[in-house]
Amino acid sequence: MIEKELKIANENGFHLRPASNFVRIASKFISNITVTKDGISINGKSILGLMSLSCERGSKILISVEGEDEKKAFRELEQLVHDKFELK
Amino acid sequence: MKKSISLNGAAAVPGVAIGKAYLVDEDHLKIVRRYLKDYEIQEEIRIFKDALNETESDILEMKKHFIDLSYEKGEIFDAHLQMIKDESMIKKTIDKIKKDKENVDYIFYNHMIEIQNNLLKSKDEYLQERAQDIKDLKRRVIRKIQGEDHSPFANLEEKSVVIARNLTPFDSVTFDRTMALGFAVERGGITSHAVILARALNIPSVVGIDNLLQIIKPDDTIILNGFTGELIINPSKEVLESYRKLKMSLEDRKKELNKIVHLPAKTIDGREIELSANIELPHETDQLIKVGAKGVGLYRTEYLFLTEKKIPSEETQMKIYQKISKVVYPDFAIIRTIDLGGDKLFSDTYERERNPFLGWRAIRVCLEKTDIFKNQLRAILRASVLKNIRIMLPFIATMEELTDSKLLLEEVKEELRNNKIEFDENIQLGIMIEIPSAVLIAGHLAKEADFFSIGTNDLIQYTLAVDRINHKVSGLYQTYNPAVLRLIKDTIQAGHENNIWVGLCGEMAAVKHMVPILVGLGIDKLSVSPVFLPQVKEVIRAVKYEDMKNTSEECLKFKTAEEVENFITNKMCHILPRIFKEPINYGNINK
Repeated sequence: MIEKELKIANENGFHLRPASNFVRIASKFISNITVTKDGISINGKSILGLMSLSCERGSKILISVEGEDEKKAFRELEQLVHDKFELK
Repeated sequence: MKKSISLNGAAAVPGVAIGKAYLVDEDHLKIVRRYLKDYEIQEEIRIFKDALNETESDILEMKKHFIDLSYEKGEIFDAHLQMIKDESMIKKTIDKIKKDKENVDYIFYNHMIEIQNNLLKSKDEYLQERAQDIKDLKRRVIRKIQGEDHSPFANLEEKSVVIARNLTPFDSVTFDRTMALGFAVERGGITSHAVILARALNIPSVVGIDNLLQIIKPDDTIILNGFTGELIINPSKEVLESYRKLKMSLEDRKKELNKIVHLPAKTIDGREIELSANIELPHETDQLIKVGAKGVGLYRTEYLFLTEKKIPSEETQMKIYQKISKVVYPDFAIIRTIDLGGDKLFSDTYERERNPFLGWRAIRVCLEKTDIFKNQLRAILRASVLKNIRIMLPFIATMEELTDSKLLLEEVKEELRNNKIEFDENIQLGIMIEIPSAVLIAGHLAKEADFFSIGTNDLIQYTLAVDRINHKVSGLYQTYNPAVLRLIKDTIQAGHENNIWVGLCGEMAAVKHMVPILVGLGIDKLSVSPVFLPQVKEVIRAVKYEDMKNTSEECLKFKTAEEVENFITNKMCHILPRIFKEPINYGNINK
């Protein structure tokens, strides 16, 4: 399992577009992906779940990835967060 | 044992209803709860998956059409597709179907409501707006599950008390009147559309209770008291029993009133008052015979415009007016030209008015948009072949409005003559008296109009300068106000001095304490919602005109509404104690 705390750098946190992009990437992989904030854990492949996590800029989220393709999955997700949730 | 809750709203249509709740939410979704048998579970899951797939197809279809638009719009659809495919949501729903064994629309509905509410609670405005996306999605999927073209108000499976957010004119047309025992709606003050439409449905109704849909659950037992405006949810055995007894005594009262249905509305000393019905929807004419109405005293044509969602064609209008004419023949039908605000007719170009009640509405709109006005006049004339239709103009404030309207009517008549189309040449044209200025020049107006009909709802409003839907001042909206009585008397006098008849079609006519006063003031005609007709007749038949002349003179001497009310209540308790001495203590059922 790979687990790491990441900082939200974009303006509005998990708005529809960032959440949508996150889910798009997360859904590519078979590993289980969990996003935790303030003790609440959400399935990272659930857009409905992510939307309910309101995160301001500068807040931290814990991303946990576990499964066969965890390394690749985590790398891509970390990149996404770093790119302020913009898909390149 | 479910907890019993008592709620208070405004009584809209009298009567008592006892039954199970049938919920229709603001998106017009039926909220029903069904328990599944074990063998039904797989089918239910399949229905759910099909609904999701169909919704997905719809979204893809929409996305195709929008592909030319901005990138952002396309993204929304992608996000919606992700929502539809959200594995957590799907798993949670299916697990719940298996565990609770309930229908999927109920489970899915509650799940989505939960998500909606969480988003609405967020401090982030953007997320609050996303609740709308969830709402849309919820609606789409549930409609797939329940069946697309289904009006939630039609085809009730069992007799129920219908609970809804609002009632639009369109809804009331599809309403299943045979199965609905009663009706409660969140929106609506006592003079709102919802009330008028509920009366048209003629089932006990209560309006204006906040958060009804959050509080009541499907299958809750409801007692609806249309006299007091009370709603009791899951009543105790004792309360249920008291209400059942009340219901029976009401049935007895109804039978009593039925005896006079076909008797004339005549005072003891022989003065006959023409008692007719106010209607909004054409189908209400069915009720006229049942309640012994002498024709239609007011047909509010604006509801036709509201149900059609666009301006109805001359042809459509003519057919409806014709039908009404035929049904009430040989009695008369008074058709009032549209009394609508500009906002309802021209929503695209309309600029919000600061004071719509003092603004561009009714006859003012018609005299400016003469094509619409003439269309309606033409439709009415073409339908007047049986010579039992009368035209009435709303909201007249000045002489010019009447004379200009008469000119337009003459133009339309000339057009029809030239085209050799038959119509009633002598059709009566009357006006509503609902603005104080009209009362003050009633003598002049009476020389140009064929009749007056006093619209007390607005007359009270404009005389006392009170907004009848404003809670803060609603106490000022006084039915018994001496100033208003004076205006009514002056109107009747001016009318009679010029040999025209004067009627009254506002809610005041249905107030049993006011009926004797109006009779005494010399009113020729009263028009009320069909549901109130029998009891108005009962009061008319119990009084002497000569006696009431004195009574109304006395009333005019008072300075306050309270004095008037006390006086007439006292008087009527002696004349008709059975009805006026707080007969059935509707509100005092043991809680």
